[in-house]
Amino acid sequence: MTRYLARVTDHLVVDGDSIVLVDSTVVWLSGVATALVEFLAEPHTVGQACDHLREIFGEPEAPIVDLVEDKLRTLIDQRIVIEVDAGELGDAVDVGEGESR
Amino acid sequence: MVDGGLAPEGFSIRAFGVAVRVLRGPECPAADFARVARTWADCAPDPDEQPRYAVSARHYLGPLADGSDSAAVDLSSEITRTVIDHADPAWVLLHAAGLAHPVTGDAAAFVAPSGTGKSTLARTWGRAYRYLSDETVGIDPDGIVHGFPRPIVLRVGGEDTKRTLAPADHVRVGSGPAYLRAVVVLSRTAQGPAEPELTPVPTLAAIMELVPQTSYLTRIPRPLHRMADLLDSVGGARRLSYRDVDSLGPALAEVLGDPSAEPAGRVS
Repeated sequence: MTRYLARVTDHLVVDGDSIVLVDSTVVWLSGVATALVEFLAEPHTVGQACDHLREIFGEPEAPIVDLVEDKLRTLIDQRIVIEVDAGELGDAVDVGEGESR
Repeated sequence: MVDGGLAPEGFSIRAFGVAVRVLRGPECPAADFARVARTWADCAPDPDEQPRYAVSARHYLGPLADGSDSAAVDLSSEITRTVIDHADPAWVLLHAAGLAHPVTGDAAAFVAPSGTGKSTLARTWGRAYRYLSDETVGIDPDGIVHGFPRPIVLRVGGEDTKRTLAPADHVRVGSGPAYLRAVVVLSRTAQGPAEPELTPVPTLAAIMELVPQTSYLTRIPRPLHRMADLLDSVGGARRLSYRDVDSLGPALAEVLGDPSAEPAGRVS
C-alpha cells in the first residue's frame, strides 16, 4: 500500500492556512492542503488521510477519496509530498512540528 | 585600510562580518585601483583584521569614454557575492534598502525586487536618515541591522553604462548599532497614490513576498518561522505604496521617526 510523506524545508501555519518552503521556493497551502501536509509529517495512506480530513472538515459533497488523491497529486507535483514504501522511511520526515501561530 | 592614495596593491573591506581582501591584478593601473579603493572606504575593516577571503581586480578599472566604469561595477558585484556567500548563516539577508534614524538608531528594511525603488529611496533619503544600504541588509539574531555601504552604482546613460561612487560623498554613512523596527515592502508605481500609503501585510502574504528577496535563507534552521518571528518583532510587515520618492517624508517619519531634516535630493 502506497504511503505519502510531506518533505519540506519548513512549514508555517497561521490561522489554518500555511506556507511551505521547498528548497528555496515558497508555496501557499489552503486549509485542506495544510491539514493534509501536517498529517503527512508521518507517512500515511490515502485512506488514513481521508479519515483525518473527514474528522476535521466533515464529509464533502464529492467523494473524499477523489479530493485527497487530487490534492496529493498537486502536492507531489510541487515536490511537497513524496510517495514512500515501507523500506524508505528512515530519514524522510522533516516537517510537522505542528506549530501554529 | 582603504585609502585612495595608499592602496596600490590591495585594500580590505568588511561587511556582514566578512572581511575580504581586494587585490590589484597586473593589468589594473594603480591610480585607477586606488580610486576604486576609495569608493569602498565606508566598508573599511579594523586595521588589524586579517581577511579570510580575497578577490582580484584583474582588469582595467578606469572610466570609459562614455563615463561608465563597468569593470568597477563588476568588481563590486564580485566582492558583494563573496561577502554574502560567507556571511553568518544565522543572519537573515534581505534584498532591501536600509535606513536608520540618525539619533535613535531605529532602522527599517525597505524590501523590493531589483529595479523597483530601493536604491532611489536609499539615496534620496540617506542623508536625512542614516544610510545603511541600497541593496542588502543583514539582520542578526538579536535584531541588529547590519548595513553594507558598498559603492553606489549609478547609471550614466543606458542600461549598461554605470559608474561607482563612494557613499559617504552623497549620503550619511554613520556608525553605531541600528535596531530593526520595521520591515516595509515597497510598491512604487506610476499609478500609486500621490500621498504615500502604509498598510499592514498579513504574515503569510508578507513572507511569500519576502522569501524571493532573501539570500541563503535555507541556511537558517526553520527559516519560515524565523521570518515570522522577525516580522512579529516589528509588529508585522507593512506595504508602502507610492508614486514619487520625494513624497515619502511623512511615511518615513511614521516608520522611523522624524529626522528633522529635509530630503537630500537624488544623487545625479
